[in-house]
Formats: sequence, C-alpha cells, structure tokens
Amino acid sequence: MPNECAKIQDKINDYADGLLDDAQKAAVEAHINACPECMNEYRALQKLLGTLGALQDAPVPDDFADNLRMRLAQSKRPSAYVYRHLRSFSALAAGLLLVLLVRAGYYADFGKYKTAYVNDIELKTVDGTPSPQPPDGYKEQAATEAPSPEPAATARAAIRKQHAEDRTDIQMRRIADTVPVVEDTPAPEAAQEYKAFSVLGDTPPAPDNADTGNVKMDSNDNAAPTQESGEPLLPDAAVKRAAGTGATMPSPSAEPLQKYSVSTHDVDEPSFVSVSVQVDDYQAVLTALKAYNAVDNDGCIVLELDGEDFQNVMTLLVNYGARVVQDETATGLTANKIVITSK
Amino acid sequence: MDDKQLFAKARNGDMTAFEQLVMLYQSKVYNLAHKLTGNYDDASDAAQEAFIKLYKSLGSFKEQSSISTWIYRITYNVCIDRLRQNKRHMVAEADETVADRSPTPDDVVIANDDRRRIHEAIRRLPEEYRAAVVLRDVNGHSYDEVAAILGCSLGTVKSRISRGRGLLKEYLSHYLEQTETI
Repeated sequence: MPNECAKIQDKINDYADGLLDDAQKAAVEAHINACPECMNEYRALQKLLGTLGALQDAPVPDDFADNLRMRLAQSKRPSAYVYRHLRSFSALAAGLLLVLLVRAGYYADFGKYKTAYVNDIELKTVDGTPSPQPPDGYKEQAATEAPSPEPAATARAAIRKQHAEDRTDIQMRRIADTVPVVEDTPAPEAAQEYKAFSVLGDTPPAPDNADTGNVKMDSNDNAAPTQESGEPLLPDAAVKRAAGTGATMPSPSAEPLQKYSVSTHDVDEPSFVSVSVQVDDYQAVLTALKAYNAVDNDGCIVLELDGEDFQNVMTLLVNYGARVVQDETATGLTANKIVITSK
Repeated sequence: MDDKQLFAKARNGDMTAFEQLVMLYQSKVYNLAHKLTGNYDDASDAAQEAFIKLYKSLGSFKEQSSISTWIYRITYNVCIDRLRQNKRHMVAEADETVADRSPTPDDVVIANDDRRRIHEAIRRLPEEYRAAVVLRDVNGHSYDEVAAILGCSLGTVKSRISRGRGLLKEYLSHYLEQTETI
C-alpha cells in the first residue's frame, strides 16, 4: 500500500464519522476519488456502518418487568428469611412463628433491610436499627400466645439459625472466591452452652456467636435441621469441632481471607467510604485492632484507614460478626472511615 | 417526565418512578446486553442485574455523567463481568435464535441469514472492540459517550472502534461484497 493510501485509510474512520475538519475532509475526498483501492475501503466501511446502524432492537421479553420486579423485591427484603422457615417447619408452626414475629415487632423491620456491599462482601444490613432480637418480655408474650413454650423457643432458635445461615452465606461466598481459607471455628463457651441445653433436652438456643459468622459450616453441616427431627440447630460437626478441639475465636492476626477493592456500592469509581459496624465482642475487636491504633472512645472505635488496611479490617470484622448499620460514600474524607460499636 | 426527573423521584424512594425509568431504558439495556453477551437469556439476566445494581446505587450517583451513560456503564460492567466469569460457557451457549426474536420490520432491511451473520461477526470481536463498536455503530453513541461508558480515553475508543470495524469488514467481507454489487 502506498504511503499516501496508508495515511488516508487511517483517516477514513474519522471521515466516515464526520470528525475531520474541512481541509482534512477535502484531502481524503480528493484521494479516494483518485484511488480505487481506498474508494473500495471507504465503500466497504460505509456498507458496514449502514448495516450495523440498521440493526433494530429485539423486543424485550414479556416477563422481563415481572422478573425484575420479583428480583428487586428479593433484593430489598429478606424474603428467604421467611420462606426458609416455611420450608423447615410445619404450616402450623410457621403460622405461629409469623404471628409471634409480628406481635414481637420483628415484621416492622423487614422492609428496612437492605443489602450493602463492602468490598464486594455482601452484608445484610439494617438501616440504623438493631437486628431482630427477642425484646424484653418476649418470652412472656410468647407464652401467652402459644400453648406451650416450645414454639416460642422454636421461633427464637429459628431466628438465630437464620442469622447463622445468613452469615454462613457470607462466608461461603467469600470462600468461593478465595483459595487460602482461615479456619473459623465456634467459640468454645458458646458451644458448651449449646451442649448443656442439648443434654437437658430443651430446644437449644444457638450460641450467641452463631449469628455472627464465627461458625463457618461446611456445606454438609449446613443442611437445615428440622424442628420435627429435634436435631440441634448447630450442626454436630461444628459442636464437635468446638468442644473437642478447644477451638477459639479466629485469630485476629490471621491473614485476611481476600483482598477487595474499596467500594461500598456498586459504583464504578472508587471513593472513600464511611462505614458504621456493630460487632458481637467489642472488647475482642478492640484488642484485635490494636495494631491499627484502635482506642476505645466511649464505647466506640473510630478508624481512618487507607485502602489496604480498610480491606483487612473489614475482613477481620466479619469474623467478629460485623453487621453494617450504615454505609455511605462520603465526601470530604481523606481515608476510609470505620466506626465500630457493640451490638 | 424525563429521566432526570424520574431519577430524582426514584432516588427519594418512589418505586413507580423507578419502574418508569426501567421502562424508558429496558429495551436499550437489554439489547446492549444481548450484543455484548451474544445470548438472549443471558442478556435478560444481565439487564435485570444491571437495573438491580442501578436501584441499589441510586444514592451514590454523582451526576458527573448523564443518567443514560451511567446506566449503560453499569450494563457494560455487568456484561463484561459475566463474560469473564463464564467465558467458555458463553461461547458455547451463544444462541442460534437471533432471527427468531428480532422484529419483523428489520427483515425489510436485512434478511434473517444476513442478520445472523452480522450478529455472529459482532460476537467474534474481542470484548473491548465489540463494546466500542456496538455502542458507536449500533447504538449511535458519540465517541465521548462511548469513552464515558467504557471508562477509557477518547484515543482508546477511537483505536478500538477502528480495529473493531476492520475486523468486522474482514469477517463480513463476503456479505459486504454481495451487497455492494446489488
């Protein structure tokens, strides 16, 4: 190809797009009118652009809007929270559970749930409200409503179990993306407490840390035990690990499971973020974060961290049952901010 | 009501406004997703995922770009993520029913077989070229808009479009020669 042709063909796209000034345009036109090869190139380009521009949009599937609406509803509300119960319990127990939840005020919180993304870790969050916990007097109220105390205990245990499952989901999602995994095991005290209840034959309350993500269950362990079977809500394997091995809280010095890009939202531009996190064991977290110069400030730890430290701390906090109660992409920050309080 | 007004309402929690925003963009988002993924089922799923991400991040939109650019950017990112996660799967699953679902008026301009060939040629392009060419030459975005959607410089966009067009001319040479003689 002659040198002149190469220069013109470099400009043919701009010419076809109308991006050339008058002088350049005139030069291209003069050349292609005199050069059959470049004229062919230009015509082929014109045909191509005409063809691509003539492609019409395919119709959107009829069920697109309905499916989207359903997925949006699922992403806004913890529907699985309810539906999993319905699968696990008899209709009677489920009906009673819902009555109890509504009476106890849980239902009021359902619509407030949202899903937050912190470094691509999907966390269930509650807008500034604590997670559903049996309020004072709950037991008495349940006893009034229920013919026996078992359904009330079932409700509480189910709620806790659900939290454990949700946390497990988080763990599993992270594990799926990660090769090295820190072995998380349940805290021994909690497991012992659970064991004691088992011996007494009572429906065991899941250990407090069961809804914190401290218990990392294998997929087999995660098979939902049913109330009918009377199987413990904490998987046997997890109990055995905890009771038999003297397992401890995950080591704060453990390597983070995964490094994430810093973004609390699904936005494309990374920016500094401000996150408020509640944890189960505030003192343990305070100790664990000494390396980050964490100090207690009237029941609150405030850390300002760069990207990597932010990732490490958030990963560590998940192991302490971190629940994000507020996250925002804040302006005016010069580092990522984490405010940690106790649940 | 334009997209800015709808967006402002949706941001304040007006779900109806958000649904209207979806209605406004669903066709473009769905078709962009189709051209990027090369598969109608994945396109539907990706388009829905894009709208869900849009919904979740309504509050974080900083209005540095237009709403349409932002929506297409989310769509592009969702599709590229999916392509990269399921690269082999996507190629294997590329559907053969392109002609069946396109609107009939298109038949007047491009015959079914030709349209299938064009879609296949687009699908053969490397991801980066494909996105740039589709946004520019199929969807008609300006070079600046394409750069904003893809998150790259104008020079990069020009280069990708030029290379993408060159490859398409090669892939479709037979078709282009045929139509030239008509």
